[in-house]
Amino acid sequence: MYTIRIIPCLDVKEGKVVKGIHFKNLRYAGDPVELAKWYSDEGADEIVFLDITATIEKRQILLDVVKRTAQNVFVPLTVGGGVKSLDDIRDLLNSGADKVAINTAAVKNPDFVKQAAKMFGSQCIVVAIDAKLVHGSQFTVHSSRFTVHSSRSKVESKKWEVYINAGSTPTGLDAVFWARKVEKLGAGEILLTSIDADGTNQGYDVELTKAVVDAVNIPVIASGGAGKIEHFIEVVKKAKVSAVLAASVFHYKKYSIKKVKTAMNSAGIQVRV
Amino acid sequence: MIRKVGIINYGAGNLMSISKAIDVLGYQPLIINSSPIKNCDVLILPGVGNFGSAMKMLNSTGLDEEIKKFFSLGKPILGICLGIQLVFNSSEEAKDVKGLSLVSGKVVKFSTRGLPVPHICWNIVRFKNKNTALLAGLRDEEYFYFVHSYYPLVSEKNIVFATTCYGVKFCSMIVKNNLVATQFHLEKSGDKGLKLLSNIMKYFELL
Repeated sequence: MYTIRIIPCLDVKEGKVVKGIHFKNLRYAGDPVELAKWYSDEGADEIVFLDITATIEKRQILLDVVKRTAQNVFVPLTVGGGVKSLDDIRDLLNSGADKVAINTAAVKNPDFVKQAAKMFGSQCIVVAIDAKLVHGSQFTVHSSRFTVHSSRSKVESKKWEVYINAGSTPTGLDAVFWARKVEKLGAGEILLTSIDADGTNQGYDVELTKAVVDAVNIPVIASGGAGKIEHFIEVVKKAKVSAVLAASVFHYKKYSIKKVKTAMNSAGIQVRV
Repeated sequence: MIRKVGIINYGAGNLMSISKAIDVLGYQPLIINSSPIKNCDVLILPGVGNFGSAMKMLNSTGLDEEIKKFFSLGKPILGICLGIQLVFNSSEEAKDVKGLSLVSGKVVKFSTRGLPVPHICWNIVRFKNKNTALLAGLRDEEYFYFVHSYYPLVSEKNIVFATTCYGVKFCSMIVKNNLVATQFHLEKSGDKGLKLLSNIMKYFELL
């Protein structure tokens, strides 16, 4: 038995839920405290709360907003944004987070993921990966132990590059390689967002998602691009993800969580109803 | 009469979720950082952390002996997630560390082919005993939220209260007189989770 989780995502800026396209052009989508309660009552299997400007503004996440959001939530709450120390994680857990998402700090200091998993348990540590398709053949993927010149391979396979600082800074890291690495470091789960698909409502990046799911044995949450009910079904069936995350379709009430779940159920996907 | 509910702090867990749930049900949560344990009607061993570090913390603060004493006095104890694992003899998560040994058995890691580990999802809990006050308002099978990589292998089969399947059928809830423990998160399983938590507290009242 394995049920797929449906996860509404609250991208929070200055205490308000916003939604953009390709991580830009943010517009107001609601109050995090109210939305979280609404989703928790409506049947969301989990809620993700991301303080999307914490890293760029070089500040800590807004603990007070997290605390007020958590107050009305009796389903799992994953919180991320600017998390870079064990103290940050402890503060978030004490504010009501059940899991913590690490993104930029994991790339800058991979050992942090290891320490965090050791201290709080892997089940508590989600590594968020923001990835973008690499165009052209000159791309070189770097890591400390591994270099691939994709231009040399006979069959041109797609590559995705990891971006940090809320999608603004390319890292040269290959997303699939990075996913494998964070699993080894002790991450319990991967929250994978396609920057290309984000906010487009044109569907998840199935190829990217499948490439990452096939590379690791920890659960992967697909994120970015959900616009229609078929998109949820497609990414679960084709990429075998453990969970699907969406923001705008839920915030703007295009679909209710219940409606998505009913449709997935009819398509033969096991969900909690 | 149950009023004060002590929640053991291993120093790594999310105590707010469980405190909140206890508070919502009308009881008073008390965070316990060190021994001795005073004025608690119920003890909760909560959910997040690593078996080895949690046991080391309990050993170094003397809370391990306090919990054992609490149990042998017949006072109610509730274990959640890591909490159900700590009451057994040992765990594959920390092979050289002894558990609280309130019940016999060991904790082992999932080795499920083709299924991701940790087991993170809402999964069906099948209750073995049906006509009990513990299940008032609940169906024989309900979805609860799981997040774990290890599960208990119970030696005393009669204490297995519910099972769940994830590649393997495992024990997801035990009831042994004044000890109740769940592998799933009662405080994170929506209204059904709160309902079962409330039933457990009522069961404790009658002890």
